[in-house]
Amino acid sequence: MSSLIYTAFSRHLIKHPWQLGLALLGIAVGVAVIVSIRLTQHSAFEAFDIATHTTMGQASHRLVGPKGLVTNEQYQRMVLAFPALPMTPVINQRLTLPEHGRAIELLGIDPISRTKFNPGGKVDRLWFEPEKLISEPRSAIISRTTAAELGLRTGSYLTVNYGPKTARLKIIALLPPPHSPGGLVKGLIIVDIATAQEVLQLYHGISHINLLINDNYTATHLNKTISAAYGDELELLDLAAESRRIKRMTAAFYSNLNALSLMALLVGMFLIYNTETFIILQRRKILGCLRALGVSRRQVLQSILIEASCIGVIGSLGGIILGVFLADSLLGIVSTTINDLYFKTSIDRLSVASTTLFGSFSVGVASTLLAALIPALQATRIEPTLMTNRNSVQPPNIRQICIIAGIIFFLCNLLSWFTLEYSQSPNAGFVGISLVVFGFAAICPLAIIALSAGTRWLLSSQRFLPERHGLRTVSTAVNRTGPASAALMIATAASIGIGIMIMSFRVSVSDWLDTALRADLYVSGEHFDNQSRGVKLSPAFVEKIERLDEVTSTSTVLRQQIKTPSGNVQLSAYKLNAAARQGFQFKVGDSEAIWVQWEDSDVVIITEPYAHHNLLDIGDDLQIKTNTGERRFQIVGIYADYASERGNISMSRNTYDRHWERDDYDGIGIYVAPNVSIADAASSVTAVINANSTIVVNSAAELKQTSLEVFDRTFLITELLRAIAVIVSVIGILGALLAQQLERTREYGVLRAIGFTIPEMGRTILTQTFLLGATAAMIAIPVGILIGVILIEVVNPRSFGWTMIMQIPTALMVKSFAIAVLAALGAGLYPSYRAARIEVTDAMRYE
Amino acid sequence: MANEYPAVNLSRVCKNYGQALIKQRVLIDVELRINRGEFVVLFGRSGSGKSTLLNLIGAMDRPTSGLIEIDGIQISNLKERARTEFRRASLGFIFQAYNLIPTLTAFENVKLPLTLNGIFDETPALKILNDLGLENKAGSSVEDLSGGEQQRVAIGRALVHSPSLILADEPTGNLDIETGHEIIRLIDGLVRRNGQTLIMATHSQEVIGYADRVLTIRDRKVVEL
Amino acid sequence: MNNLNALGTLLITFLSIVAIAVKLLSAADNSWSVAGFLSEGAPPLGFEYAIEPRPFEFPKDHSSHPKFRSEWWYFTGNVNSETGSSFGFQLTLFRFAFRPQATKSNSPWRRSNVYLGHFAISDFTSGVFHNFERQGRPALGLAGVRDKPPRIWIRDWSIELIEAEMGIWQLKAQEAGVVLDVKANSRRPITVQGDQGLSKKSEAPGNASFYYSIPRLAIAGSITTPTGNHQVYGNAWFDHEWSTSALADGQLGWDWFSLQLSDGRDIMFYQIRDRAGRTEAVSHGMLLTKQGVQTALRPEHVQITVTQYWQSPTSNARYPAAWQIRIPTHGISIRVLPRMSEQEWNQSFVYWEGAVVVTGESATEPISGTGYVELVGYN
Repeated sequence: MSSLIYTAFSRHLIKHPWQLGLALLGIAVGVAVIVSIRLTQHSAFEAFDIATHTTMGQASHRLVGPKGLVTNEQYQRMVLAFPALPMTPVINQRLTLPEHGRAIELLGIDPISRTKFNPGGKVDRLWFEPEKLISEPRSAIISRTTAAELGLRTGSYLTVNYGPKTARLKIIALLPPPHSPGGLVKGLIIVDIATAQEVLQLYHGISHINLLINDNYTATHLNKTISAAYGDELELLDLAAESRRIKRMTAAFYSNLNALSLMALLVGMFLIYNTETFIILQRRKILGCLRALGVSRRQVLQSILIEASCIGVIGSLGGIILGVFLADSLLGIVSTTINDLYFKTSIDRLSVASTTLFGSFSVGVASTLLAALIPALQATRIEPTLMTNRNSVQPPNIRQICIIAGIIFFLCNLLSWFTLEYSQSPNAGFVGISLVVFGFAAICPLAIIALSAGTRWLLSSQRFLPERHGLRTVSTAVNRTGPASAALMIATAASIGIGIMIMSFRVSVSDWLDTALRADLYVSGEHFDNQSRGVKLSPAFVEKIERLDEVTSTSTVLRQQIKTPSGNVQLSAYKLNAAARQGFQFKVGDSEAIWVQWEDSDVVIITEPYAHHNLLDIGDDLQIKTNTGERRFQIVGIYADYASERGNISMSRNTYDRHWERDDYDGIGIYVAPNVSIADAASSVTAVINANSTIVVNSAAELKQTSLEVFDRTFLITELLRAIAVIVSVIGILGALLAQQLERTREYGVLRAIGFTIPEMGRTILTQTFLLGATAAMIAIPVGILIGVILIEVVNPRSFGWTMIMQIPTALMVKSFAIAVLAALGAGLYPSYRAARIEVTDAMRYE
Repeated sequence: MANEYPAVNLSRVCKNYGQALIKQRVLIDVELRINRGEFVVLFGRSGSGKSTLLNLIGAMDRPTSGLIEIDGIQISNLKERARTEFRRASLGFIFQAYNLIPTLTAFENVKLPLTLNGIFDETPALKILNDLGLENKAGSSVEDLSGGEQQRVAIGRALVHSPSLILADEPTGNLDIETGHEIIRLIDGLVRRNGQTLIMATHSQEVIGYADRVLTIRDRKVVEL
Repeated sequence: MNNLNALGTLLITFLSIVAIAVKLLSAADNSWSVAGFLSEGAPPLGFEYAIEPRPFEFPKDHSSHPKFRSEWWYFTGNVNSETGSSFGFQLTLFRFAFRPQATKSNSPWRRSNVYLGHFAISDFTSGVFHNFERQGRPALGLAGVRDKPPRIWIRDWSIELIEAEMGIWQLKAQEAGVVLDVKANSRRPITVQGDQGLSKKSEAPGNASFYYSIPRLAIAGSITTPTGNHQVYGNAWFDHEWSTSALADGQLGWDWFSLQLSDGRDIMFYQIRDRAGRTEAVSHGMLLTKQGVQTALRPEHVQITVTQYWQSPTSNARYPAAWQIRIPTHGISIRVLPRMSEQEWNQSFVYWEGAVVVTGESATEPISGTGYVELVGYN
């Protein structure tokens, strides 16, 4: 209808490309961060699914043995018991490549029975001939990617080591990436099941059996048969449930990242708000004139919102493109974390999910509109006027600002408190954080006014005239400076809050490791695959270790998956000496009372996450399926443990032995004699270990270092996103200040005309930006601490069940304060330079 | 189509600014009647209340009390939306600072009131640009035009949709005397040809000669000079 | 508003492109055909070939011949139940070797053979063709061939000679509630096919198989389908064939007939078709009288006319579905009709293998009969 009005608007923006660019950048970065996080998550899941699919086909269930082994005989009996059920043997084991100094996952399959697991039950004949794999000993298949990494081609040989055993495999085919039909994930080498046994020189069994069960009846029947025939020897895992569980575990990890991406979007919204306010201010004259000519308020609102949605659309599209690139570079980091913490998979490719793109796009456009709504509503208030617009910057109504800011501050914080108090959801934590941040953002203008007044009072001398003028300007233009400093405040506060959380988490983990790692050396059967279990240590081996002169005492652990009414969980059976007992930090329960009952009563202690996820407390009973039937164990303590998100149950080995019959161990903690160096002891222990095994010895220091390395890798992405948020907000501040300077060009002309020198002009402007930075930083510190508190006290316990000791690192505060102030000062440099160059006459003529 | 209503009729119009305590009375009990087709000059210093009066007559502001009728329509108690529509359809404005939309071309500026009134026929805009001698400048950005040309575009924009009442606020204020005269002659000629009513606020003596009647504001009241 | 529309269109176009690209990337063409284990091309070195006729020795030759690349044991039969239901059944076990002998290994999985089983019950009463395919690696005793007494099995599907003297076989197979459990009692002597058991598939030497049949066995036992358990009686045909050859270039497939006539005569005939649809000269067969007199059938003796076709809705292959067969030297003129059309295999290989019914005349006497027909290479 009134395309001329839109034309009048849009041409204005095109004539001010910097403002347009800033607005577009704001929304683009916000959307980009969201898109990148979502896409990396999606890609990780897809990679997981593809890896699952290439390694197990369409298997629905898996039959596993207690020691990561199903014997040939057990396989035979299973097949004969269910002759028509699709069933296929699998061997998987991590091998090392001595020629390349890296590891590779060996996957031994039976191409014949595996046929039923392929789509349509067809033979894998697209890229290789299965009969060659079966009939040519030592033949193997790898992906093209892996081949390229290792410099292999069809017909090449590859030496693989399994412990001291070595074998040469011949590459008979290269498979395309996993996305093609019949494709293969990287880092995997596929061989025939017979070849796998030959390479590992383990001829009596396989790792597990994959099954394809389509109906519950078969699953139940199978489970019954297995229990009847094998007792606890074999266990049927529902792979769909496992994969759901594994994916769910990453939810908490991603919820942190998603919170960060929302923060980035919030900063982006402030940029939009800023730009819109500014361009509307600049168009006051046009608007007043249009209103006089009979343009209605509604038409004004419509034009501005349509303009904003165009910015939103273009910005979001840009954000999507940017986000895809960002995701591509984040993928490596996310991939590392996921491999460290959750599941083994190689994320080869960024998978672009159209739903994610659509979703992020809508979020981007919606937030742009939301951010533009307030300035747009303000624009509709512009009165039609006949008079020459005198470009009067209306002095803000301080009382009104005080009241509104106070109300918002109060309401948001109250609401935040309510949310945190009355909702148990981990998301409530994020809602609470957003509300607190928003509430404090509202008082930024107030703080600017107060700080400006206070500083002016301090700088009462006439020598500080430029500073005083700058301070006054900041406070009179609070409608413009407020949002800018609020944006900087949010970014700084988020940065501080997350910093506090990570730091506290790290300190807690480090403390916990110090406490928990009581022994000097740890011996365990190393295993890299979550789904099978490590090599067990025999009693004879433990005895040998104990007989060493260098060893004063040992403690041992045996780990086993057990069944409880709430699902499977890992049980650790400990034989602890006095020192090892010191390694348990009880969050709930009296340690003396616990150790009294520990050996002889049917009691267990559980980790914090386990208590949290299953809503358990001390005094509760846990029903556990043992070899002697279902037994009840009383929970007597809840202890700190950061090793597993799912949690863990522990009991004494004595208690364990009363209900299960096992004589082996998973790990030994070795206490070294006082006069022996740990390195010497380690070499003596290593000498005991059979050269053929994969048993490893680690010192407590090594374990701690490895654990903290994993921790740091996990939070690398968080740090990166934090940096992005700060950069965006610096850009935002720059834009806001530039805009403010443009608005004041005429005023600067006047100042120059009445005799302000160029350095005095600079002082004026830098005082302004310094004040903005300082205000932001000063509010950011308490807000950051609050965010930290909520993350530590609410989000983490609710998401992971972990508590941690809050750390408020001064260095972080100082650093964040400095960054905020420097960012603001830096943003003032160009405007100072510009203002200094203003020709008095030009400035006066402006407008 | 005899219309017995006066073009402008103000009765006991008061206008105050500010809050209760620091009230600034600008106009008190103004009585004013302007007939159709009249060219009235509102003469006076700046700050005398001329612009306030024009804002009231131009339906941009509402009086604190009193009655304003334009063409028999009582605008003093119209709602904001109705006033906007009234301005759009029945009034033309000429400003001292031209107040053209800088992002539009001369032609687009002139066309704007037509568009706003839902008229898509561009003939009146082309015709008035011809009348104003601007046919060669139609596509130019208004920022590239001289002051006189800009004001002629503004006149075009004020007249294109044939409003019955034209309000001009110091239209020659930014122009040299020569161009000022030319502009006044142009306005006078066009307005009289169409029988439109014109109220012009000015402090320029030269304009007085063109007017049918000269009013001024004295002691916050409108009086004939 | 035009600008907005344009922008919207642009946006939708952009996102559609993204969506389509994503779709294309994720869902590449997944349909590829599988030739099965009977791979084309030259077999690996070391296999033996059927070149010269050789003496057969039973029951030893009932078991496997691992030096040959492929081998199959084939039972097909037509049976009726006491309650009037009639069925066709097929139990075929194939052995395919990747190498003539397995490499020595400590791994019990190290094998160079694979077994494939096809088990079908054609239920003519309900019109359902139950068919199952099974593959097995001959490791851990889960599939294989035993010599004494001869037994071929894949898990719980098995063909076993339970009484060598009497020539009594036991056939067992079950899957998804469909069960075959019958004894097959030889009513005819072992009959070698082709040239003293050497059955040529093309003129090239070595492109032949060793092939013998038991043309008629009396069946007694039970068949279970979703309609219930049925005691059944009837006739079956047994074939055992081993070779290292494959179809020669230009050969497209074959039609194989095994017919048991009411006058006690049994007929086997197969014709190999070339790509032009012609019957090749190596096609051959035999006619066995009730008394055990065997006559070879050459292509010039047998006139086969297809009188009807059937198109499979599953594979779209167009199969012959009715034949007029004349063997003038024996005065035979018969019509052969599938007992039902839907007897197509659509798993690792696509082929049609089904029970047929025979009507016609011998000289001037009316005769009838049943049998099985196998049609390969029509898709």
